[in-house]
Amino acid sequence: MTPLKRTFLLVAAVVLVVAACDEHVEIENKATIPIRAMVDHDTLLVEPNGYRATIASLGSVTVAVVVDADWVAEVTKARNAMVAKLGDPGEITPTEIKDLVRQIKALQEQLDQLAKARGASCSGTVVQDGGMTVEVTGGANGNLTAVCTVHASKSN
Amino acid sequence: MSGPYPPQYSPPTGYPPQQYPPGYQGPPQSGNPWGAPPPVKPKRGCFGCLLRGCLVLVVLVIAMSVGGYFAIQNGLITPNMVLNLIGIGPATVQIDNFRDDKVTVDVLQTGSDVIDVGAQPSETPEPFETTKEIGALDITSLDVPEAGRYRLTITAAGKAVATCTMPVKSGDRIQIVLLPKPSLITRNDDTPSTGSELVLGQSSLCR
Repeated sequence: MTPLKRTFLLVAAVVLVVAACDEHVEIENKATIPIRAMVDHDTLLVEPNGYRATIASLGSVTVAVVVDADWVAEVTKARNAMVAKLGDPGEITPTEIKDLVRQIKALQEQLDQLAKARGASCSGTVVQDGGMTVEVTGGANGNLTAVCTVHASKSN
Repeated sequence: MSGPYPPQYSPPTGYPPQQYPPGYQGPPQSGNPWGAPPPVKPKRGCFGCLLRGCLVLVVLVIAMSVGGYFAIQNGLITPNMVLNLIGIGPATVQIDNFRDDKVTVDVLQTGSDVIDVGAQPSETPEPFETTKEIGALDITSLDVPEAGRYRLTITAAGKAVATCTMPVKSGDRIQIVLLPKPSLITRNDDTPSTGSELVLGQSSLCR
C-alpha cells in the first residue's frame, strides 16, 4: 500500500467516524394544538398527541417550539412580501434584489425571534449513542412548555 | 640586486596614527593586550533539547485533543467545520417550502470533484442520492457529502416544480425558497446582479 493510499484511507476512516456523529431528537406533542418544532435549521409540524423524530449533530442542541398557527402566520407574511417584490423577475431593480436577499437571510432570525417571543425552548447536550426527547405541553391558552430529556450513551 | 638581504624593516612613517579622537583612553588595561577573553558558555547536549521539544509537543497535542473534544461536545466546533477546513466537508442545501402543498425533493449526485487516490480504475464510487418530503411551510436542510455536481428535482403531487443541476463546493450554503411562483435560489447569501439570477431554473447556479 502506497503512503498516499494509506493517507487517503486514514482520512476516509476519520470522515466515516465523524459522519456517524448524529443522534436522534424526538419531539412528543402532548399539547392540545399543533406545534412547529425547530431543531437546528429544520422544522417539524407535530400534531396534538403526535410524535416526530429528526437527526441532530452531537453537542449542544436547542429545540424551539411555537404554536403552528403563529408559525403559519409569520411564514405566510414573509412569503407574500417576497412574492409581491418579485413580480416579473426580469424587471426587478438591483435595490429590490438586495431587499429580497436580505429578506431571505433575515427569515431564520425572524422565526427564532417568534420562538423567543411566543414559543418555548429547551436545550440539551446530545452525546454519541445517546439522544434527546422533547416533551411539549400546554396549548389551552397558547402557552407552551418544552422539557428536554437527554439520554445517556447506550454504551455507559 | 643591491643592498643587504633580508632588507632592513622600517615602519611606514605616520603609522600608527598618533592622533586619537578626544576622550579615547587607549586599549583596555589588562594583562592581555587584546582585551579580556570571552566567557566560556557551558555546553548543552542535543539530547536534552530534543527531549524538551518532544515533551512540549506531546503536551500541546494532548491539550489540543482534550480542548477539541470538549469544543465538539459543546457544539463550539462541529465536525463539519473541521472537514470544511480541509476542503472535504459537506455543503448544506436549505429548502424553504413556502408553498401551500407538500413537495418531494430528489437529490442525485451527477459528478464528483473529490479525487479518490485509492480507487482502482474499475471501481466507480456510488453517487449520493436522497429523497425528502417537505410539508407545506416547512424548512429542511440537506447535507450533500462532498464537492461535485448535484441534480435537484422538486415535484409536487407528481408534477415538476423545478429542476436545477448545480456545482457544489465544500462548505457551500445554498438556500432554495419555494414560492407559489417562481422559486428563488441563493448561494452563501450572495447578492446576484439581475433578478433572473435569483430564480431557480434561470440562475447560472443551475447550469
